[in-house]
Amino acid sequence: MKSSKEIERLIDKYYNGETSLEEEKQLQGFFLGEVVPDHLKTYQEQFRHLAVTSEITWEGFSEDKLFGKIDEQPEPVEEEKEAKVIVMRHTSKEVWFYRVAAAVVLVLVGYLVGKDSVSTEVNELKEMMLTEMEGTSASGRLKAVNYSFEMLVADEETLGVLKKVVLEESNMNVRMKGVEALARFGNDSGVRETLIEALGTEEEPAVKIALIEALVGLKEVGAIENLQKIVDDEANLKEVRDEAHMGMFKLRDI
Amino acid sequence: MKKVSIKLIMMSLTLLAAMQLKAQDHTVNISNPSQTTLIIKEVNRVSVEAYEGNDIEISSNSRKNNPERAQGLTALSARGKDNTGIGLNVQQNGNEVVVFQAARRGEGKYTIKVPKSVKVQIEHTGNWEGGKIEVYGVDGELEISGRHNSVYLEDISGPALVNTVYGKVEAVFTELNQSGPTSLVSVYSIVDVTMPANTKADVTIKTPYGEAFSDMDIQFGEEDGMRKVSSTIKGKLNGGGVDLDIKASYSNVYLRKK
Amino acid sequence: MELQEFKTKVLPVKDRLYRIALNMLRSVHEAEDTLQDVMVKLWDKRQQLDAYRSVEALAVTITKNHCLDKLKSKKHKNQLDVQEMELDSGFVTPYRKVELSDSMKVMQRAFKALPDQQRLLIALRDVEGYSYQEISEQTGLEVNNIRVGLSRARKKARELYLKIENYEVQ
Repeated sequence: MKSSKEIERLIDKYYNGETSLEEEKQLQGFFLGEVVPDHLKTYQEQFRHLAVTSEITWEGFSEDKLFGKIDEQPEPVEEEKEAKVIVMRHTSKEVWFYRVAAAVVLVLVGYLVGKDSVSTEVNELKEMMLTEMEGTSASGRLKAVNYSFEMLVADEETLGVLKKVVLEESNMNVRMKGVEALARFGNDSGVRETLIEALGTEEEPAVKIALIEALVGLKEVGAIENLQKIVDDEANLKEVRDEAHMGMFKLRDI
Repeated sequence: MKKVSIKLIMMSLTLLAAMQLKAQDHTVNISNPSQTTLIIKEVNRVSVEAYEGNDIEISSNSRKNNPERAQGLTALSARGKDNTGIGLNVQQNGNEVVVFQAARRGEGKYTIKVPKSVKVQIEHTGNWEGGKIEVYGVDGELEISGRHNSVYLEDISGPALVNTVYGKVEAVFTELNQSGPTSLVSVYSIVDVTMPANTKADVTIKTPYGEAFSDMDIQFGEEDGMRKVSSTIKGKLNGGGVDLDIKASYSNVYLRKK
Repeated sequence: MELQEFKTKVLPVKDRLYRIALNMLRSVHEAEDTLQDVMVKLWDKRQQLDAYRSVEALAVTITKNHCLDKLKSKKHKNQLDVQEMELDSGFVTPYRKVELSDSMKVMQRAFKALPDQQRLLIALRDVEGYSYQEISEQTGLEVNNIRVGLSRARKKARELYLKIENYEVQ
């Protein structure tokens, strides 16, 4: 068993996102054990909850139901939902107690969450991004683009900022990073259109190459026309034309 | 060692030449260096050097003077008037000092002395001229964009955004400013970066058609090992810090410790 | 890939996918609905599954995308979410096997109140134990950003937990 000093060190690392899987297992093992010193008790629930959650299985799963549904494809037929039976295993007194407790917690959570809205984090990132984007410093604008790499989803406003970077930003380092950032949200058709548009207007060889890479990575067949133009235009650098040619080859193969 | 002595010889030669030619100067008075941005456009062979003074001093070692016939006249160019007598147009708008090449100069080099803390932007997109862009000892933010130019930066601290197409990028940092990301890109040539060993950074090195070399202690994360996905290397220097992107599309990257 | 292979390659990860969906959607009902769709999608792709280096990574990615779409489609009623999740899975399922202590329930609510992205990262790392590299493949986020996101999520879960606990004690 690890000393509590050692555990405290691991806890610090854990909350800083620095632990390895092995160390995370050690922490969980420690908190699931019987002896947890008082001063570490408040950490216990977090690890115990994760342990319990990891035991959950898909109880409602039934192969028959799944393959029944698969058989029904492609015609989507309204599926008869199994009636959900809620099994209460508490005595009614307990049930009432829990209902009241749950209601209290619900109000509290509503209050806390309200202040602390579900999408706060993305909003914070977006705010920081918009602020940096306003500045005259190119490094600041690069920082703004970099914030988007922390977002898993982007709203229209964020996408709008990134599109503008790709099409209008004056600094090439920032523009090139913008291409990479925007391509992450390539599921969005508007994003693809912007990248194709930029491929037609971009002058800087390094950014052209980044655009070709991005569009090929997204398997965007709509880019072929602009790629052909790059291949045909002898004013382009040989390497850029080669890259465009290779890109066309890959896209036609799809 | 070798590099230093060559540089010394070159510097003394330049000095000698300058003394012989009695360099011509142009001074721009600025009131607030750290709020000032020096913008240099299309100036061929330029070296920006930090010094102890409070003004911007521009000099040329070119031996070319205007023809005798031109006495009392100023050179005209499509880009604007040579208002310095050394082939440059210099304008001051608020906190910006804009310098651009007004008259053709086939040889010689411009030296621009600046207070340490000014921000410097250098842009050169002209096709065949340009030569080397050099910056020494500047603490302010650097933004340099070249095409045929090689870029040499010494004793700088960033943030620096540098890109060039055909030339190499060499940068020696005294420290890496954590206020914003630094990005150094060359398409066809090498990018060679020297950093103090204790620099904190989240480093990304991209060499799609080349290789990367380093003697710095890059941490790749405990379980991820050396990640080499599509020739991109990502890691942390000294626990991580500001973003440091280095890219050489068709050549090599060298990251050294001082 | 045919039926037997589908059963041996895809079905073994169903519980993992379910837990990820449950953590994302916070509702047993919606998690089951979404997973049915994910399974059908994987079945539709069965001919191409061999081309993927990891069927599991693909399955997780599809699950994540379906969940995010679902969350997006009801984004306008953020506030309502909290109530729905209470009514739907408040104190009955999915923890049938284990009686949750009160403080554990508080913890559960703290986790549920995290932003979407943070819940996803917690589900992938702290519940499923995927490596950073795997999570990076599944989400498209860079390792550094995964670490930062996880750090924020873990701290925030604790902070919320302590806030609620303190309110209850008073």
